[in-house]
Amino acid sequence: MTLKERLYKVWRALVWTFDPADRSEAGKAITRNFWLHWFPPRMTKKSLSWSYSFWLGTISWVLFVILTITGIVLMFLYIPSVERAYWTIKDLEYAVSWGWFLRNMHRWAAHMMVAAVFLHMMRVFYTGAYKNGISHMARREINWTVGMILLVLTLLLSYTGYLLPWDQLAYWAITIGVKIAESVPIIGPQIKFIMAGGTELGQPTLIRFYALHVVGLPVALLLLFSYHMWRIRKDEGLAVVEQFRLAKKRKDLQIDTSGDEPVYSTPWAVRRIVLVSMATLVWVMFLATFLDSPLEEPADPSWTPNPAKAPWYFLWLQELLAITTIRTPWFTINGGFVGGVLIPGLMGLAATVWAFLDKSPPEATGVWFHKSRTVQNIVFTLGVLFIVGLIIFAMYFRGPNWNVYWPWAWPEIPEII
Amino acid sequence: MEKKLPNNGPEDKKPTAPQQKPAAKKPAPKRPKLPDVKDDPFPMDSWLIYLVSIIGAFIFGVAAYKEFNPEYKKYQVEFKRLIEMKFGTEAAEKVPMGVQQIWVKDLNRVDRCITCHMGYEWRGLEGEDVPEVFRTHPDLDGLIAKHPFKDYGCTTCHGGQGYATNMKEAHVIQKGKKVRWLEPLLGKEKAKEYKFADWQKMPLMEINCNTCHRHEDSLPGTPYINLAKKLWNEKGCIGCHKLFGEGGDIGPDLTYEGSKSHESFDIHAPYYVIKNGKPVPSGRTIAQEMKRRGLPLSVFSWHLLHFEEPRSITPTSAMPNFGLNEKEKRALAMLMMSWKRVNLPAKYIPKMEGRGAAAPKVDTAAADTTAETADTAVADTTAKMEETPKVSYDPELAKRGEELFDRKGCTACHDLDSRKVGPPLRDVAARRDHEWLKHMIMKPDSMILNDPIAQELLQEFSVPMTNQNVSEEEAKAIIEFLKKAATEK
Ligand code: HEM
Repeated sequence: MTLKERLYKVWRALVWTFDPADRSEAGKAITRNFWLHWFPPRMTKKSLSWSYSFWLGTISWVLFVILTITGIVLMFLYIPSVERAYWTIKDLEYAVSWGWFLRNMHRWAAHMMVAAVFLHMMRVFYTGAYKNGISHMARREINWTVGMILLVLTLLLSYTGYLLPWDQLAYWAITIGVKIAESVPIIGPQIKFIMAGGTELGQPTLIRFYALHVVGLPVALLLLFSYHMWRIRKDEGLAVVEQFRLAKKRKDLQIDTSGDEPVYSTPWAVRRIVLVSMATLVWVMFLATFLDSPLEEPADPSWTPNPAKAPWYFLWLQELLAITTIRTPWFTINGGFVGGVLIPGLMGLAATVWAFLDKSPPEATGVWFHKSRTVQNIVFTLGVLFIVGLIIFAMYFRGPNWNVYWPWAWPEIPEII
Repeated sequence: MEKKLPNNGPEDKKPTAPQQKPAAKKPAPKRPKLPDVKDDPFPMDSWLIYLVSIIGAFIFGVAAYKEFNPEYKKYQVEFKRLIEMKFGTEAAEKVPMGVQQIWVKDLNRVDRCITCHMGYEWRGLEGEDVPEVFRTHPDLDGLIAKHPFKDYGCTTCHGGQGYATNMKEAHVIQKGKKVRWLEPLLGKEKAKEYKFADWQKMPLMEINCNTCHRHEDSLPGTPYINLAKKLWNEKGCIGCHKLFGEGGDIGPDLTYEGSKSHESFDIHAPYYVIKNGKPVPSGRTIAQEMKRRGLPLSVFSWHLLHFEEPRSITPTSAMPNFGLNEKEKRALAMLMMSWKRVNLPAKYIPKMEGRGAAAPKVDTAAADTTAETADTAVADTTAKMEETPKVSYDPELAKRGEELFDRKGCTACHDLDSRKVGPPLRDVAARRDHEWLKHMIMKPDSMILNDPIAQELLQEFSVPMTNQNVSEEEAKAIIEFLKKAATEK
């Protein structure tokens, strides 16, 4: 063997044929590759299309990978101590090589991930992708439930990370979150105590949040995500393939079968995954280059910014809490419980169990806005608009003392000198 | 091409199962025919990957440009050129590049100001011809010998954000996007914003001097703070305000006034003007009043307005208008801003000769003697009261007294007919004798310590009357006014 051949062999042993010469090579490239072995050798063209899934699940996953990589680097630079945390962030901003870029990437990818996961959930709902069609194997409602937990984990990851800079923004946003938890009846104070590691936010809170943020939650998310993917295979592919199964049995439904073609996972699906990953990365880099992450004054438990606002994805809870707190001479409604726990809890529960209760026909599986699901789509949309509306309202129209202001008429806060 | 394939793919095995009859039950028509591996189902994808790569490379290029061309670089290049011109190539070689900092561990400060202000300790760059950023720090042998750079850094005295390595954020310039930093740079720009005539001297820096030197009566080089401390003693502020646990309770504790959050100052509350001795809403907010006067919206401006007329900010304030001039108002505002909560390591606490405005002396000896003198004093006053049966007064003097009654701030606590912080004074001239009144008006503080009636009154009203620095003639005039009031029931 010449050196060139030998090197080529080593290369082949390490990676896979990216340019398979035939069908068998295409199959082996998947099954023998550690990273790709959980893919089937071939996929249905329609399930890889842009318009079916918008690839939002993959985008969420890529964001998670970006977060893991930038996060590991950040772990070398950040110190989880109330005395030092803030200053290590200042150093990232001003003195560490590429520190600003690293921090911006991590921050924007985190915000994007919350948005991407939520949009992915919306896509799954509108396409009826938690339904099983006529498959006997599929249990997609389980994956929907797993997804719900993934959504909660994503929110918790973002929320625990929000505290770490230990600035005023972080400190008070987390304080509000903890207050919401405290308003749960009976066990509220205990939840608060467990979250804060004491009666007020301090070093014990920071170290708890840090441990959860860098180990507990990412590991949980990783395990659950693997299960999420494994389930997709057990469920015999994405829900859209149910359309094609049904099309063969029920010619009367006149289902559109365009896109019912097998596609080799290597190289075509892999290439698309690479494309989506690169586009996501480039978008995050774009944000990181041109948009700076906020960093306010160092955390000071003795002065509360007015108004103190929760992170954007929890703003709707804060707003709900404010509008459901009602005091009359005759009765008092505890907004913390109603707005912070009851309403969001019921909404989450309803969304989760609906996947088990939805009785729309099999042909509503894996298609956008099937006419048999119009009513539930409207109800779901109203729920989404409710959340998004409250977030926008609380973000732009709530000023000092939680009073309503036009965004351009916010009262100015005096400077010091 | 298909024919050449070896038959070992998983999908190729099934159709060749031996027990099946050839051609009779072929599964092939049921399955879609497999395409050739080389048929590209998504022909656009490769192009999109190229496109995204190009965009990505471009964006990364922009990020790299930002990373490798920080704002300070051009200053450093310019400084090097200056040194080369002045001191030759060899000296220029020694000019460091990249982020420079002074780290003062004890004060928890990291000051990167010297990343641009590179000439701060180079002797020979004092001249006016040297651009200001690069000039040698003045008074290296005096002030700086006492406050070495390595022990104080820059921001301890100058303020500003030491961590920052760009001008806007280091200088805390609040134009456009707000810089979230609590220590503004107390330089010429700030002094100009407040229209200080002596802005060249950076007078606002005295605030930071006094943050450490607060317990000294006076300090060379801090004319404003010295004036303010003098005023503090003269006006008897301690009568109403506490400092480190000593002083009156009428006004708020001022020990850490300078650390009060800027967010706790409500500048959108109404601003009042005084008409006929009474505060009436001006129709403007405090913020609008600041803008009208060309003052920045700040806590400092708030103090300026408040010292001018306390009731224009808080209409019910018991604090008198001391008739301060512009300089005195600024001086006091600076004193207030300087009273910050700081954690000074022992070696940073200045050595002191005298105890200052911040630590009032209490005459304990005087307090001890009260018990002995109490009886005689009571006898004295009652005896004298009987000697003044009818009230007559000088109308000229009474008129002046009425003015003083308002200007000295008595009205803050006293009304003629109703009880406020202090008792109603309509017929006080009939109740008390002239001497007693004179003393109470001029020196209420010592009366409270020595006079049983004053003590009894304190018991009842719980708020001690403060010394308003009333002279003897002024006191006489006020008494004439009170006599007049007694006749006008
Ligand atoms: C960390 C968060 C998540 C990740 C990384 C993730 C990832 C993925 C990926 C890669 C897919 C393949 C299809 C696609 O790309 O759209 C998928 C499918 C799916 N996901 Fe998620 N997902 C997450 C959260 C969720 C959530 C919040 C839900 C719903 C509550 C959900 C429910 C589903 C379901 C039901 C499918 C199957 C869809 C179909 O058959 O068309 N997932 N997920």
